[in-house]
Amino acid sequence: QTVFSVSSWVPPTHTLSVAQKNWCDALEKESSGRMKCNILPKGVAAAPGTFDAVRDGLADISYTVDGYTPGRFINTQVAEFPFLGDSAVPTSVAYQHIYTKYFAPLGEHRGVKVLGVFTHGPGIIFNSKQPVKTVDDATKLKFRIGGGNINELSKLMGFNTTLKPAPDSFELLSTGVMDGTFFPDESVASFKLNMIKHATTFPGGLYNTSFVFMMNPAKYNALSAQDKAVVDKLSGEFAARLFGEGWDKVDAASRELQKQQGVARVQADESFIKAVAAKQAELEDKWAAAASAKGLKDPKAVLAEFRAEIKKIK
Amino acid sequence: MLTFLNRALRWSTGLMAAMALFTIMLLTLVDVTGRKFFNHSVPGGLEVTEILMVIVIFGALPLVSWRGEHVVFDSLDAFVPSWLHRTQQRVVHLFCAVVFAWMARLMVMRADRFSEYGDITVHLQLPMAPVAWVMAAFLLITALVHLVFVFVRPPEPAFHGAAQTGDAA
Amino acid sequence: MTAALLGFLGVFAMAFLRVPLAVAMATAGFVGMGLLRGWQPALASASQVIFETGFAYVLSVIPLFVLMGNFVARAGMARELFNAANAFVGHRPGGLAMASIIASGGFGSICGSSIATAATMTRVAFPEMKAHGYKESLATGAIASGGTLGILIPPSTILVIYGIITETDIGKLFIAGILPGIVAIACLCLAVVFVTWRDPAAGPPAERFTWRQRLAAIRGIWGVALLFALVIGGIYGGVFTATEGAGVGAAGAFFFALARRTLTPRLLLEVLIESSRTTAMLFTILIAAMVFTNFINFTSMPADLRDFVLQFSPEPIMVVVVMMGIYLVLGMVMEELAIVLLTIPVFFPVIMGLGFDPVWFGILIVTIVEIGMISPPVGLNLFVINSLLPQVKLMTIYRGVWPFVFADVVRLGILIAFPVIALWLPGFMNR
Ligand code: NA
Ligand code: NA
Repeated sequence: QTVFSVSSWVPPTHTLSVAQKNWCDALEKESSGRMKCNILPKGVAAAPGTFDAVRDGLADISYTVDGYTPGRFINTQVAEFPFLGDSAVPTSVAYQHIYTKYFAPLGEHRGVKVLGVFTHGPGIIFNSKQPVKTVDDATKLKFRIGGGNINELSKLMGFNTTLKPAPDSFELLSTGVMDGTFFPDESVASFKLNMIKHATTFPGGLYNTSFVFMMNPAKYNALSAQDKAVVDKLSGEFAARLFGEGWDKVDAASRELQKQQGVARVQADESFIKAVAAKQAELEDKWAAAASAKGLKDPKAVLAEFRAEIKKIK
Repeated sequence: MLTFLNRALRWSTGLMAAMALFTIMLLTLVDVTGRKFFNHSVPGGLEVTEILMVIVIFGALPLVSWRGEHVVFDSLDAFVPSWLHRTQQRVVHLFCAVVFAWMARLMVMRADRFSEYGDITVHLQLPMAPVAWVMAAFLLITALVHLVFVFVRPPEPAFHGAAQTGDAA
Repeated sequence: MTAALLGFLGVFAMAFLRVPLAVAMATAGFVGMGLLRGWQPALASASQVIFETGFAYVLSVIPLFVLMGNFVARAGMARELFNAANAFVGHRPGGLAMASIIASGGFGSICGSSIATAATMTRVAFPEMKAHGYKESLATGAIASGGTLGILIPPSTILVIYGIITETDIGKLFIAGILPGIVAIACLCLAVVFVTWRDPAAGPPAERFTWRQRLAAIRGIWGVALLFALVIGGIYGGVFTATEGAGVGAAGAFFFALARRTLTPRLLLEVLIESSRTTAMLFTILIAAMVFTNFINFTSMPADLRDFVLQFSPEPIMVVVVMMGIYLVLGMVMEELAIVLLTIPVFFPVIMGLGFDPVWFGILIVTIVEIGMISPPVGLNLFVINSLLPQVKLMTIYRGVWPFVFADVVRLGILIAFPVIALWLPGFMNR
């Protein structure tokens, strides 16, 4: 019997931990109990160190956010772009297809066995002060943000943002140090952001996040051919769909909660969306240059195929 | 020689740690004031704080070792005969030297990993590898301090020097 | 469980041979991880922990609160607090010990660290007690236990860390610490009464002050009150976060020390280097404790402990009591922050599942940490005093602190029995 040490850097109730546990249950069932997981009480490393932790065999299975180690992954930034999709399953599955076809051979995730890649739901602007419909509304407020494409985009848009870790959000917003934050729906519930009063949505989301679910390669290589086949079956689209469904479920639950909390939901004005698209075009040029330097052929076409794939799955 | 080394440590790594700590304090003040009154915080302030923290912690470490300020159980001291005491001291310092040197080695590993992947900080896009190098260098100096004490008796009075600084008023 | 116990044994064996505690924990943690999980992962784990702990924004509260404490001490505010408390209680048996506890509480209101509080009060109060013929055991016991008020009375590093890992409102946690802090001062003063009742020679009465003198002494503490208002007011008013509050507080204390002309460039450098040294000493232990914790994480100990407490879930309050019992035992032998980081992910969901209040549990955890910091043999506050007072034997400090540990356990019982003490004030915060 093979036992995998599984690590998670969010609480056991978080959708990422739950989806990971569901994957483990599927693994145990499909292998008739030959493989199972030992989920560790505490994550073996903070989020940014998790990739290395799996690579070095500190944990056998875990997941991480590619953007938490800036400079390391370029191709995966496509999954951080705005206007991808309105739910996590299609973007995750389409991302997985593109990843398998174009990114995996380039080996950015070298050192780990990638089980799957996925995204969360559409990124939204939340705040506790006023409705935000235009660029002007947004530039009046102070926002906490994480890293990645949205950080670059915010700079170009002239938003007043501060980079702070996501778990600081409650303190920053409840004390009024910050007026708002950029999050998927889920986070309003999971970070207990009960001070949020306004949400501004964008068709397809203002931003997204690229996740990777991975296994220590030595552990994988030591498996029997039969067990490898089970892991392979549960890798790729299966994993992407599983994590995506998890995100969609908690996003929906959080939207219900936001209704009770009295969060007013508006869509950004056409002018706002156009402004974001214009600035994003610059970033996409920059990304395309960086990605071709890393060996990706015709990045713009890959991006177009990614967007088309998302629409197709929807 | 000991006085010279004491001064050398104080005015090199010690001074760096002190300045880094003072800068973190001022940086926080400026950041908060800027955000409150001018609607803009210091760009990348968080990252600068993190890097300065590394200098505070690891820069002051050689001095901690130098002054023997690490937490130690001395409850068995009364039972250790005086002829054995110096030998015990040498062995412990050698052990500490090995452990700190090994930690320095680990930080070199970390630095190599950062350069392999080209890791940078989020906002200012500073490379991470040099940060790990700085840690490694300070840890190595700490190891050398312990190594000195394997051969030279540590300066006894300086051990509890913190008590002398008392408060002025 | 066996692996974990062997790990603890290894730490103690090395520590008794006079290996620094940090070096002993790092070595035991690394070797344990290597044997349990392989040497490659052990190397990776240690190298990640060292880097992540050294390169951590939220942990910047620790050096900043230490620095604030040192500036405040330099500005003479700790002495003013001690004098004010002394003016009222100094003439009683053990009065100076009580004064140092009360002054520690006051100092704790502007300093987030127990170690900084204990270190400062050692310099201010110990010489006074010594001069009045106090026994070293009572003097150090009172200072060590009083020092722990630094993390109960806001601001507090431990409450910030608890708030971050459990996603509990840090502002509420801070406010919740105020009343338990007053209860704690009362319990610790009763411990002094008990000690001097058993042995009147331990703390002879000092001279009595007139009311005129008392009022003058009280007026002397306005500086402390102002800094408290700045830091706590700023955190509540949403001007800055608790983490940033440490930096603003340190800057405030710096300007105070400047204004009182107690800082020369040379002294400033002295304060900065000293604060950095304390930081380095603490972080070495913190890093080593993390290395050791990562090893414990791979043993069955956390799951065994959870299964053990879950047996009592038909009686929810018993779960809490048993948990506290486990913490008391762990607190004797482990570094407290390591305990919090290791057990909270295991215990917190259990506590929430039983429907208890996270703020109340946070206050219990701080109380546990306080007890751990003074319960022999591994107690950070005891070590700090020991390093500042080379002439006092660690064994003397161990002997003197027991009545105070007992008083703290009684206080813990009171807080468990009456959650309202912790929850009454935060109940008024409408957010
Ligand atoms: Na405090
Ligand atoms: Na203890």
